[in-house]
Amino acid sequence: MPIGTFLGIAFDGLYFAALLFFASIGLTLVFGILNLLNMAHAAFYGFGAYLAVWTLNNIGDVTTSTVVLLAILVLAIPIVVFVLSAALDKSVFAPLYDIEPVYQLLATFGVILMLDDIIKFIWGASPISVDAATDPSRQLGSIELLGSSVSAYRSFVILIAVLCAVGLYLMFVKTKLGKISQAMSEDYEMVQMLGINVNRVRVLIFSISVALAALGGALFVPFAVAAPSVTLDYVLLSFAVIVIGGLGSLKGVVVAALLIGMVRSLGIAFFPAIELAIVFALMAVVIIFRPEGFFGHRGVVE
Amino acid sequence: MSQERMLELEDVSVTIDRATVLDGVSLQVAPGETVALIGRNGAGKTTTFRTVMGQTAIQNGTVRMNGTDLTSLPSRARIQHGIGFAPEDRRLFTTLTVEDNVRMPRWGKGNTSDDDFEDSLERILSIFPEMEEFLDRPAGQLSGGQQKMVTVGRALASDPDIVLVDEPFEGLAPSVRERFRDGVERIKELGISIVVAESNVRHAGEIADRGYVIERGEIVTSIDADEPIAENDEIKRIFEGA
Repeated sequence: MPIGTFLGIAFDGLYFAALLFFASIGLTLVFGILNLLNMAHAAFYGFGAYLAVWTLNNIGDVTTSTVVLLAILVLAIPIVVFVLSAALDKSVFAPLYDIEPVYQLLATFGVILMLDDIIKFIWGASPISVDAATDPSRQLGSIELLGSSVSAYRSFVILIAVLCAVGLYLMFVKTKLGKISQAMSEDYEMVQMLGINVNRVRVLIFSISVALAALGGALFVPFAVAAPSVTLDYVLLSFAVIVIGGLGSLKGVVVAALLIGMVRSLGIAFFPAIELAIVFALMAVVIIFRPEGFFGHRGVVE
Repeated sequence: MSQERMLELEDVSVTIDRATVLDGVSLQVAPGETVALIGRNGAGKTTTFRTVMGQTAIQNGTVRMNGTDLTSLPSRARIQHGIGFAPEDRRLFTTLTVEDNVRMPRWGKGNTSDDDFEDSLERILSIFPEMEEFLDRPAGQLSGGQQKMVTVGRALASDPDIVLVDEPFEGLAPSVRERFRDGVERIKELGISIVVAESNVRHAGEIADRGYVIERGEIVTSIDADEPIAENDEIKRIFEGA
């Protein structure tokens, strides 16, 4: 295989891994720390995608500055979703934390349908895409990497994913919020008895998780369309990531997203008709031989 | 018994899954006292502590601390009223360091001052100096005895007026048990009230000023300071079948 082709496959794998990281990291944090199996998580990925297309297409009359467009994707969309999700946690998700996981799955699947319909109500059922004038991926063009030409925008997405992974790790090991979150993942009740307002921490962790999903959706759309199918695709893929990586593990998400990203990229290059089947076959193998995943039952950052 | 009351349970009843686990429990602890709550496994000692800490719903009765009714306050508010809790099964956060475990109740009290923490840590280390050696280690890597020390240390980190210690000697080697007895004496010297839940009459007799005997969720008798705990008739009936 020519080295250029190999690098191209590896780069696409990294880009897809970055998107999977955003779609899955919040799912595993919400499960690991808050004990909520939130099927609806990927709906926020879809919501972020739609909100990003709508915002980019409407900002064009004001500015087409690349820096502003990237700031909208990386800062504005996650911040808006962070605030909205804090309200959603209190109103929709709060009653779900104390119920059995099977009911959580059913209830949050209902939330997916609800959020999907809200998206269709606002933006319609047809796919929408970013206008060429406000598409930062077109503006950034390509860069040379080890002799190959790669998308500068995709490199930017990979960089943001790496920064988020490192930032989350540092948050968990260095900050008060992170340490309390780790403690809550082990013993919610004991944290309460030590005087911590676990509800406040819960809202923060939930909102950070959902904002990261929306960030992934926002970063995804300059290269793709926002469509109702986005949510369902990423529900399945994000569950594959956390099953392979181990429920509740930050490290598990990083490793599994990289693995699936690379496997899928190789699948697209050599067996395009069955690229998704390969990913889910990998998941089945992990379930059979290591049901807890690579890093399950070890805590959020172990 | 002193008339001054710090912690007071009055006619407390708790029902879990339609079973009555505490039935009209009343007890009082005065400032500086060490009181044993003595009973067999399943008698209701841990439930009594969990009730004081707000982890069980009370059907009837009141829990007061320094005259404040805690009954309807959430669990997290109890620490603000000067109550520390060291559970029997330790319940340390195993992935966090010992120091972070000990810091947690101070965060719970809203006190993030490093100077205050140093003072509090110094006081804890005066009780269990061994802890200094493993402050930086994850709590999950410690021996059972070390974990027990950290559990009591964590309960004291919020500078409580009273600390509830559930089965402090359970599962400890004799030499470590001796260290714990010294530790309890040091806590007493600091003027902190202690309630120990004990299923071992000898241990209770060695550290407590007085005691209550609990059986099937009811306080069946209280033992005054001037009566040796092991000589009490109810104790003999329950533990020796006399």
